[in-house]
Amino acid sequence: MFTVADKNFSSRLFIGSGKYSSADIMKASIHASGSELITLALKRVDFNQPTDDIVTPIKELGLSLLPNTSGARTADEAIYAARLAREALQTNWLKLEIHPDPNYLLPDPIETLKAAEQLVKEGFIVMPYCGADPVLCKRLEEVGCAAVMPLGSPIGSNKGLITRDFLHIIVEQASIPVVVDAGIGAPSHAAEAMEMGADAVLVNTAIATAHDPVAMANAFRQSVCAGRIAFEAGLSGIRPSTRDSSMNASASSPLTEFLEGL
Amino acid sequence: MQITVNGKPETVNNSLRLSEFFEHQQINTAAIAVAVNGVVIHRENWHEHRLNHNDSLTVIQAVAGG
Repeated sequence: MFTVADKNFSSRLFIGSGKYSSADIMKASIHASGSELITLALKRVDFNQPTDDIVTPIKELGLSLLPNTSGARTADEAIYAARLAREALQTNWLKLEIHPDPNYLLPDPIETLKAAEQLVKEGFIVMPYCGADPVLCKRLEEVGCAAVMPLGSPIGSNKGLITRDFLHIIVEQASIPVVVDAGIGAPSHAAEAMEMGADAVLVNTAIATAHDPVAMANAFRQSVCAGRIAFEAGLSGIRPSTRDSSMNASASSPLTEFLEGL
Repeated sequence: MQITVNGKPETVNNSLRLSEFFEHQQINTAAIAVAVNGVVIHRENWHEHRLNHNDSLTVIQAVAGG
């Protein structure tokens, strides 16, 4: 059991609703994953070509909804999208996503921090998708985010935790839940994130585009559980409560105190 | 009068209510939201919100996404 904001989750696997070949396969996969929180995106309504209702089948499964602001390129756009999302889905929960770069979809840290601060003031439960930057994650925590969602590797790349050393530092320093998001391409990647002490992972592409999404959802469910149990059991040779001194920085400039008192 | 809906121009009756606009469109409004000139109009106010000439509507819905 773990908690984000005021909500308890028994599953540490969050799931994305994108890229499934049909609503039925999506529903069966979500069910197999055991997930209790699912992301959704927003798009403009095309009145000539109505899109299938995706919300009703998800609500039938009893999941909590986490709308995202994908498509936003600036803080102002994300804030606007967030207000629309809250109205459309009647939830304060929000995956804040601002990625102006079309090639790597990497999140803009400055716009994300600006938007997070404003949205927290407006009563949103803000879960920002962000780079695996420990300093940024602490700043997002300080402005009141409910969790941080650092990336393992670019969205949809399936490359796993190429940011692992920085994820370790984020997990070590965070006082709010850390949800590793993006790039998790295999159950072993999810297990690795859980073994290092992440509170949860968010998986979409790796399940939705698998040959058998339902079986893959089940595999992820088990790997997330196994990784968490391993973390709690205390991996041999790793003491999770202690700092990894091999990552300690060693200053290359004098850390003088000349700025103190300015 | 003229309004724009998601960037496309439309001609509608003068002083059309937002609720009437959606009735004419015949779409499922269960999980949609609308902003008029950048301001979100809550669902419970749709029936009293009258549109004006040159209003710009943004109408969004939830779709699959990660």
